[in-house]
Amino acid sequence: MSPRLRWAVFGVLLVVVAALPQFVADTFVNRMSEILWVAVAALGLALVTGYNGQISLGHGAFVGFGAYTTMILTVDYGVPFALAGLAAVVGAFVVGVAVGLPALRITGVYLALVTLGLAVLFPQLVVRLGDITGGTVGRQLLPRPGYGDAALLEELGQRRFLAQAGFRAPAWTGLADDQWRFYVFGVLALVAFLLVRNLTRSRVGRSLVAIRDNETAAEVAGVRVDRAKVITFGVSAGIASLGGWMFAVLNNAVSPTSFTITLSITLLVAAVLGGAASIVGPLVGASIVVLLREVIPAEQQRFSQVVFGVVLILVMLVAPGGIVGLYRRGEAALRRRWLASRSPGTGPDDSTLDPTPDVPTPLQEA
Amino acid sequence: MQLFVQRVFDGLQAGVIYAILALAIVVIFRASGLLNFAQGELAMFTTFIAWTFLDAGVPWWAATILAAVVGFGIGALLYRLLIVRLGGPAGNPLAIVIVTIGLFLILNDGAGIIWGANPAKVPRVFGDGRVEVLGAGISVQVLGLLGVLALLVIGFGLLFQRTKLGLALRAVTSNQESAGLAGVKVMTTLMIGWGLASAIGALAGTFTASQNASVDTNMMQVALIYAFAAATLGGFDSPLGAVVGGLIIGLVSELVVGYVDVIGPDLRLLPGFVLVLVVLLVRPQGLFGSAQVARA
Repeated sequence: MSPRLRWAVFGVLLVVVAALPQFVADTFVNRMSEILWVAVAALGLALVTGYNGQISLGHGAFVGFGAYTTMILTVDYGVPFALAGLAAVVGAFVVGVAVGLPALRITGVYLALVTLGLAVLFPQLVVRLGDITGGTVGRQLLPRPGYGDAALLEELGQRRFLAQAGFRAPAWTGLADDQWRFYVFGVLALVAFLLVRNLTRSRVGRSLVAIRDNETAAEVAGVRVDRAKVITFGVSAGIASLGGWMFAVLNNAVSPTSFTITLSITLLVAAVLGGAASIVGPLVGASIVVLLREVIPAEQQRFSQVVFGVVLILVMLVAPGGIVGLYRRGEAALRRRWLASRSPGTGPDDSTLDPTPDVPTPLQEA
Repeated sequence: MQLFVQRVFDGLQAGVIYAILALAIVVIFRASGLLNFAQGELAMFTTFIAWTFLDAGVPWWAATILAAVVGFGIGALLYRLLIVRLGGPAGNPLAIVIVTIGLFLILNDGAGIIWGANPAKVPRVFGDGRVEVLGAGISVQVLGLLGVLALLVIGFGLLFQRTKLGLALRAVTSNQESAGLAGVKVMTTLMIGWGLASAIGALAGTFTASQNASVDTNMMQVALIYAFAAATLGGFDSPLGAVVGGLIIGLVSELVVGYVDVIGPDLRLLPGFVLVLVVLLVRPQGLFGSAQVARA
């Protein structure tokens, strides 16, 4: 697709998706919101995997960090949602840098090891800090005793208080809460995707690809390898934490069972299936993962992990670039055929014409 | 004092399991330079196989050996059918890590589907007896496990240093191409490496089950993390390091959890996690590992 056509398709899709909440049921709107938070979290992971060439098994913990930070700050301390989101993102960035610093200085799969530990540690930490986090039960919109708007809670009673608490659509929008939430998520996701797109095309992004492909050569060429890797990991943790903010806003409840190693692996499936070295990939992958869980009937749910496992292995064997990689390959093949049919025999080698050459992803190259 | 001795032996008891699993990880790393994130689930899966034999009336020692043999087969086949297709040791480590995570999911969920998610009862291999050491009652189980670990270490030391197979394994690790030219059957050697690792994992699994007196699908997950920590601490290319690392991690976790109230049993994993971060910062090659020089 030419860049102009690409933007046109993108614009049409955007309009369609923006119009959808006006026509479909609330449950479907919420399902789309769920896709968006999974996509944002997977995007954070894709930044590490696709561009940094590292695997994180702990992004579920960053999502959990964002969700708990949001829940506790807004419910107990009355912090506005926007500010809580900022705190969640910045906090996760700091944690990401602290964890990435030892793990990323050394080449190899140490990041996977350390983040695996992080993923398993997070629920334990939540239970240990039970006074604030609500332990194994988790937290809902009710403030803990002595915090939040205790007087209002007393006056209204629990039911009416809950009807007012949480992330509500402002009156001027005339939207239902579900719809408002979806639009806010949409804008945030768009911002996150544009941020990653610009980051990967900036100096930092090119340094990352250089590191991924040949660390020594990159270092010789003047890339500050350690710094670029650690900062990227921090940013990726921050993005995952934004996904966590969205989780808290959508579900109005958090509990440690939502943020186990399973979530981290689900995010990995979404990123890898969609295509980790692309911006759209995580969104595609997240849609499939969320909808797949939806279509699998309840009594077959126990097979879902097996399905995910088979998907991971098949993608690696058949299409390491994920769905987006497949699309790019198909597009390149079509273009070749088209060029050949237009000027038979004299057609130039399409690789010199292709404005978007088929860049090998870190998972494709041997 | 009595409590201290008790905790030391509890720590060793846990540490032995981490050490054995870490040994499996190190064997694969030495043979192929890869990490197998499904190692723990593989161990769990073979333990269920051992349990099936046990349930059919086979004595425990025979069931364990049978499970190790089956584990050897599964490991070798995994290498031959899956890892080779991704390029083996020369392949992309990222893709192989993702594939082993896929295996993790399949084995974990698959075991639940085949054998049910509820824990199954297993007898204690070395019985319930206790010996008095410095006033503390130490279960025979711990002493038995320590004995098995010692045998494993000696066995692997001999295997790697004194046999032709060990020489082939070391040759393949150090330079696959040269090893091939010198007449080593690279593919077969690597298959044996993966098979051996899975067989050791099967031992780790059956011992864990015997310690918990039950077998369930999630029993090896925490052990795998400790085993990775042990291998990091000891050095990924050192079998001795894996064993020492495993025992240290077991001891440190048990003592910190026992004596530091802030951490307590809820945060059992924290000491090991912090230890790994410190090792990576201070001595990335681990206690016994050899430092690698990166070449482009």
